[in-house]
Parts: sequence; C-alpha cells; structure tokens
Amino acid sequence: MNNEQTLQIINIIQVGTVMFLSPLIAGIINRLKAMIESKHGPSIFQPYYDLSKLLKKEVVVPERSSSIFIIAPFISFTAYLVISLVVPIVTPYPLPYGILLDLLGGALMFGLAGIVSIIAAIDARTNYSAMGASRSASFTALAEPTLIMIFIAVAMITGTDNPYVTNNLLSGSASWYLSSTHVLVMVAFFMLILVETGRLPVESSGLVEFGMIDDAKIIEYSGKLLALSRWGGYMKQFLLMSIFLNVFVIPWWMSGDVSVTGALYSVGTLFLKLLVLVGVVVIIEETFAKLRLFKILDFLAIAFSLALLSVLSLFLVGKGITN
Amino acid sequence: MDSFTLFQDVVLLYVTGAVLGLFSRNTCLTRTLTFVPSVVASALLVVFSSSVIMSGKSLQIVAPGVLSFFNFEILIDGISAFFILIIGIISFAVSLYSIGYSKEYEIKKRTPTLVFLFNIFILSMVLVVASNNAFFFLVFWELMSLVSFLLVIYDHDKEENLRSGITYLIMTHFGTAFIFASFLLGYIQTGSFSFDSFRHSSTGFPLFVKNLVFIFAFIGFGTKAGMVPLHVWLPKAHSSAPSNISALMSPVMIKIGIYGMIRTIFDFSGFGISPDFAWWGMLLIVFGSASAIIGVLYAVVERDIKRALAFSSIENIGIILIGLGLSIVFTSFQLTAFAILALVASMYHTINHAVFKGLLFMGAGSVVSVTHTKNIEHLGGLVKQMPWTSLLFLIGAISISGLPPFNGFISEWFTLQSLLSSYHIPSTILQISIAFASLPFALTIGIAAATFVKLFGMTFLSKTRNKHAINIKEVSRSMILGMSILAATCVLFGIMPYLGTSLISTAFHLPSQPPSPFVSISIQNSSGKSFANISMPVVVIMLLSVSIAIFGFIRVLGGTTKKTTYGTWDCGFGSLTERMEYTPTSFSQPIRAVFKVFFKPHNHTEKESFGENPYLLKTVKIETMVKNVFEEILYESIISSFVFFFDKVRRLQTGKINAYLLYIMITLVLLLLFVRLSNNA
Repeated sequence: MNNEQTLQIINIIQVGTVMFLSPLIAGIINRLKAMIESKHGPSIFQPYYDLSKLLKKEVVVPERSSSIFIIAPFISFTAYLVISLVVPIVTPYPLPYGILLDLLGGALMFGLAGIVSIIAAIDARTNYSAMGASRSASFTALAEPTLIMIFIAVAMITGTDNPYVTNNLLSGSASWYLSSTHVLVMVAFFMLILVETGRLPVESSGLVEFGMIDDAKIIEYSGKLLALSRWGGYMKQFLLMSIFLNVFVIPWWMSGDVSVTGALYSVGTLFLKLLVLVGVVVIIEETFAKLRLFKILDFLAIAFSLALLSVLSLFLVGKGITN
Repeated sequence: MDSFTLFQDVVLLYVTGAVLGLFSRNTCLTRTLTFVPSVVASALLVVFSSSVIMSGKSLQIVAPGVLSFFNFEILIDGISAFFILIIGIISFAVSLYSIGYSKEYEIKKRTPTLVFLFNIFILSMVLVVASNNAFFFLVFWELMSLVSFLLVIYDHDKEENLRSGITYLIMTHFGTAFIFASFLLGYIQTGSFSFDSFRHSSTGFPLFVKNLVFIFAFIGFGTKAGMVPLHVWLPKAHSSAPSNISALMSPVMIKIGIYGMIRTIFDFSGFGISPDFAWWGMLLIVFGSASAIIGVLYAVVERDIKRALAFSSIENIGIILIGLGLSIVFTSFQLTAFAILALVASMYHTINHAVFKGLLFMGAGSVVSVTHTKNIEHLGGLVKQMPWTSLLFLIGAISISGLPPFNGFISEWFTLQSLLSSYHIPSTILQISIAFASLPFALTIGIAAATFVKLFGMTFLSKTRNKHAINIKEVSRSMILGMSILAATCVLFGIMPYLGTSLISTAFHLPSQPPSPFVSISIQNSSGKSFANISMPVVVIMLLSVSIAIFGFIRVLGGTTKKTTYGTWDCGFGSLTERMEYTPTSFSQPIRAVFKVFFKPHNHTEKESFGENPYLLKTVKIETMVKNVFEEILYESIISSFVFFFDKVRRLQTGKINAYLLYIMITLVLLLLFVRLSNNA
C-alpha cells in the first residue's frame, strides 16, 4: 500500500470517526448527566437507537413551506462533513484535502450550516421555529465573530491560520502554550463551545419556551430530516470539541506516523481527551443555573472580548513568555 | 475593431438610447426598443474594458483646445477599465431588467424621461472614470450627480422622495467642493488641470500639500462612497429612486467614489513608501470599520427593504475601505506582498458588492413592483408565487453574508487574511489599532448574516402578512433574466476566485496568482512561504458530491419512507393567522436589545382595557422607534447652528434705505483704506 492510498484511507477514517463517534459522545453526556442527578439514565448508545428509528419514520412537511425546508438539513450535514475533512482529528499532519479550507474558511463554513438551518426554521412557518430562528440568528451574530477573532488570534501567533501548523507549534513549545494569548484563546473558545453546543449555563436542552434555541429551530422536523438535523448537531459538537482539544488544549498524543494504525491510535487518544472534556462540560452543566435569555448575549460578549484581549496581549506582552 | 472605435460606439449608443427615449411614445414596444441601445452599449462596454485589461494597452485620447483653457483628455488604463467593467456588467443586467420593470411607470406616462436619464446616467459614470483632466472629470462628475438627483426625485408625487433628493443634492455638492479643492491644490502646484501633470510631479509636492490633497479627496470621494458620517444621503436616495436606478446607484455609483479615492491616493497625491503615509491608511481603516459596523447595525433593524439594502451598502463600502486602508499601511512600510493582498481583497469586494447588491436591489424592485410596498412587515410568503425571484434573492443574500461557496466569501476571506497579516507591521500602536479594527469587522460579518436571513426570510418565507400579496404573479422574463446574469456572476466569482484575482492583478499590474483555476489560492508572505489557502472549485465539488452521497446514504440507512404534507400544530386554537406571526421587528429584537446603547430605542405602549381590570385588554398599541444618531445629533446641530447664524445675518436686511446707504458707505471706506494700505506696502 503506497503513501497516497494510506492517506486516502486515513481520510475515510477521519470522516467516519466524526460521523459515527459523534452520537456516542452525545450519549455519554446524557448518561453522565443522569448519573450526577442520581438517575439511571439512558444507555450511552441511545442516540444511535434514536437515529436509526427516526431514519425509518415518515416525514411530515408543514404545508406552505418550500423546498428549502427539505434541502436545508442536507446542506448543513454536508457542510459539517466537509469541515471534518480539513481539521486535525486523527492526524497531526494535513490530509490530501487539508488545503481545501483554512480555519477562517472553516469558520465561515460553520456559518453556512448555521444560516441555512435558520432560514429553514423560518420556512417551517410556526412561531416556535421563528422564535428559535430569531434567537439563533442573534446569538450567531455574536458567536461567529468570536470564532473569527479566536482564529485571528491564533493566526497571529503562528503566522498562519492553518490548524495543522498551530497544532505542531503548540505541541512543541511550552512558552507558546503558556502564553497569555493562548490561555485567553482557550477560555474564549471553551465559552463558545458551551454556546454553540447548547449547554448550560447558556441553554437547557429541551422544549421550554423560555430558553429553547436549537430545539425550537428543528421543532417542525420529523423522520429522516429530524435524524439528519440531530446527527448534524452531534457532528458539530464533536467537531468543535475536537478542534478545541487537538489544536488548542491537548495538542499532544497524536501519532505522526502515516499509517492506519497511527490514525487509529490517534482516534483512541482523542476519545480519551473527549471524555475528560465531556466530564468538565457535564460538571459545569450540572452546577450552573441557566442564564436569562438576554444574559447569553453578555456571556458571548465576554467571550468576544477575551478573544480580542488575546490578540492585544500578543502585541503588548510580546510573543510567548520566554522568547 | 480597435478599442478607440469601440469606445466611440459605446458613447454613441448611449446617446442614441437617450435621444430615442426622449422622443419615443409611451407604448410597450417602444419601451422594449428604447432599452436596446443601452443593453448593446453595456455589452460592448464589458468587451471593451476586458480587452483593455487583457491587452494591457491603455487607451489615451487627447483633443487639445476643446475649450480654450482645457484639453479634453481621456485615459483608460487598467484601473479605469476595471471600474468600467463593473459599470458594464451591472448596467447590462439592469438594462435588461428595466425592460420589464419600467412597465410600472407606464401608467404615469413617464418612461421616456426615465430612459433618457438612465442612459445619460450610465454614460456620465463611464466618462467620469475615463476622464484624464480635472476640469472634465468635475464636469462629468457634476453631470452624474445631477442626473442621479433627477432620478432620485423621479417619483416626485411623494413628498418623502423630494426630501431625499434635497438631502442628496446638498451632500453630493458638499463632496464635490472637497474634490474641487483637492484638484485645485494639484493645479496650484503644477499649473495644469491635466491628470498627467499631477501624476508626473506629485512626488515633488511638499508633504503638507500631499496630506491636504489626500484629506480633501478622502472627504470628497468618501461622501460619494457613503462613508460614515457622510452617509446620511445614501439610505434616503437609494430607497427613493426607482429600483432599477437603485440597482445602478448603490452597486456602481458609490464605487465611482472608491475609484476617485484610489486614483487620487495612488496616482496624484505623491503617495510613496514612507511611514509618513501610514496614517492615511489608518484613517481609512478607522472610517471603514466605523462604516461597516454602523451600516450593518442600521440594516438589521430596518423595516424598509430598500433602505436596509442601502444601509448594507454603507457596510460594504466600509469593508472595501478597510482593505484599501490596509493596503496603504502595508505599502508605506514596504510590505509589498501584503499590500497586494489587501488591494486585491478590497477590489475583489468592490466588484463583488456591485454584483450582489445589484442583484438584491433588482430582487427588491421585483418585490416592490408586485406588492407595492417596501415595508417587510407587510410582506412574507412570496416564495410560492415568485419562486425565481426568491431563489435569485437567496443567492444574493448568501453571497452578501460572506458564506461559502459564493463570491462574498472570497473577498471577506481575503480581507480577513490581510487583517491578520497586520502583525508584520513594525509598530505596536498600529498593530493594536488594527486589532481593534478587526473587532467591528468580525461583528459586521456576523450581523450581516442575521440581516440577510431576516430580509430573505421575512420577505419570501413565513406567512403572507399582506392582503395584496394574494393575487401576485412572478415578474416578467426580462427582469428574471437581468437578475440571473448577476446571480450567475456571483456563483462564478465564488467558485472560481482565480478569475477575479487574475482580473484584478492584470488590471492593476500586480504580480499574479497561480496559473490554473483548479489550483488552490494560496497567499504567500514576503519570504515566499504560503500561509493560507483555499481551493474553491474543490470545495464546491466536495459540497455537491458529499450532499448527493449523503442523500443516497440516508436512503440506504432508512429505506424509502413516506412524505406527508400537513398543517403545523396550532395548540388547538383553530387556524393561526398572520397576525400571530413573528414579525421582522420581533425577529431582530434581540439584536436591538444588545445594542440599545447605540440604537436608543424608543418604546411607547398604549393600552386600553375593559373597565377597571388592567389585565383585560381591549387594544394594545406598541410603538417602537430607533434613533438615527447621526441625523439627530450630528446633522441637526450643524443645521441648527447654520440657521442660528443666518438668522443673525438676516438682521442686516432691515429693508430701510438709510441702512443700505450706510452699508455702501462703510464698504466704500473700507475699500479705500485697503487700496491705500496696499499701495503703501
């Protein structure tokens, strides 16, 4: 097997990991939450059962909605898959499609997925979904800039906004890792993950009108389309968490070998890293109270300011602690 | 045909179109026919400008002594040709669109005037860009301003339009005065009004003259471009003008302001590689980022679809100015590679904004022409009746939000890349200022997406909130054709960014980008190491193939399932009416709440209840308004101080003959004194 073929196989492993491991992470989160609440909770494989059931159910389309309603889940799903081709998930070196998009391109691709789902929510023509669309559009309007600012900060540290270079630089240099810029970026990104994946203190998942955002957007979906929207949500969560871990927080323990075993090793370590992050997220979710809806925007504003501060600290403190 | 004859033909065709329009009768056939010259002329304009760009040979015409003091000079080099190309593309699409659109004015029997002004307007813009002499530049500039003023008040039955016209007329002349001052400085230094002489001797100007030339041009052209705080005319004028004219003004005319700025800064101001000029760039960045964020904030809360688009033009001009400013800063520190990147970003956004804003204004025009309302509160649910307009508007909306795979994504990505290259600038103060400028820019991208989700969603999706909107039909074919041309350009410039970058680098004589359209675009720093890349054709192929694969995959996983169409859950109330819908105002309410410091929203609630119980309401009336800070604080105070001053001056005019005799006496004495004193000296 030559190098080219190996890379292609690793590519497939990477996309497969994102697609098929992401529901498991969602299942683990739900189970952990239940355990902390001293309940038994559903099996960690419950999301898989849900998806397979939903895929076989009939689709109910609201009358008077247009074809956007049906196409949108496919577009979002595709966008997440394309992103999963270009970020370091199982390898610390770029895969053949790594040159497709850089971090900023990826950020705007996340934006595309979000916007399409918001448009579809308006197309569903109920007030619940319109409410979800309104909230989601407003929060995205602040979350997207935060993501862009974070990537600008990273790009200024490394001189490139290629995620692989960032990964290599951070894993090889303690002074960069401990620099104020990087620490601030990590905090801002973590806050952003809480927002984007709909976790407390931002959003309590479920159908409570006061706080629902993402669940309101997909309220009219059913059957296959609901399965796609849910699955897309799991993938988005998985992607953001993986980028956070592999690029920013724990850039180590990824196998540099260009081989299938190397890639599988990295999948294993990524899973362990994810478990730690999931633990932290669940603890936060179980111990914090939900913010009032409009306080979320303050929360986002803090994340946004932290990202700006990280850029400023790069110029003020200088590059890193030692050099 | 050589380029000179081609150019002559274009001018003649526009004149023919104008004359034809003026003398034609108001029938359906003539309406179609009178737009034919401008369609042909615009197509020739595209051919002409691209041939000038590709051949790299500029067209120069000098007709000496047309007027005793001034030579009539035309110079179309790469930069002019690039802007003429923009004019050509947009006016081609808009001319086609106008064939169907002008039907709306048939009843009022005013189409002949419209055709006449339309042709003269396009011609004047071409001639402004082509002029190589300050005098003729100003003549054509004035012609452009006056014709566009007449077009703004074209619908003069409405008083609102007349007001917009007056605001526009005043602001545009305010700008022209500064442009005039800038050129006069050049004249004082060189003794000639020819741009050639400015070009040759500008490096020798004293530094303070260079700075003054820049400042005057910045204010003058900035007014035309709609830069904050000189933007007040723009939303009014663009929403009052007929939609096909808005589709020319907003995409093209404000770009002429950008053209003037580029021409003056890079050609006549003696700009060069020296940190002395870094502040020029910073000024552009500061005003650019202010325009971007302020424009988009007003756009997101706006209820008038055309005003919202006009505010978004201010935002996009801001993005263009940020790129231009960065390019100047980089040049002044001799960071050539980044200067080129920023200039390409800015010019790419210039052509992109022209294309998608033209498309969106035409889309808005179609909506207005069938529903007769500009207020999106009264629109909604048009996607069923107007599927083509909806689709094309959606393409424009996604493009302008800067999302892949359309063209806005490419230019915003370039601008972001040039912003984050700012850490190469060897000055911490500048680095920090640019970091602060990237903050409003990032916010702008986010809020712009929300704006266009709202505009598209509330206009075309959701339920119909208008009783007139029930019997409407799709607009005529020529209108759809006009929009499709620009939509196709959006897609083309999105999936083949190579096309745009090579166009710009050839036009501006910059080192070019990779050779094949399928090679990814990579941006290199000064040492030749690439630091960022995207490959749009592959991204698009991936998007398409993956989505088809997903479709098949889901099919395989779940098997075939039924699809039922059913009403949405109405909580058991019976039918949900459009009055229970989320309105555009409620949609953007969270953003209004976050930026309440800026908007200073004014809410007023009136309740009328049954009897004593305050909870049993008969009617509730809520009024919510957003304050326009600039008009109400900045301009009001200027206007009131003027009024105050001239009120005082008016006291001189007593109407008594004795007083006037006294004035004459005083003047005479003063003049005699003056002559006496100056003779002594």
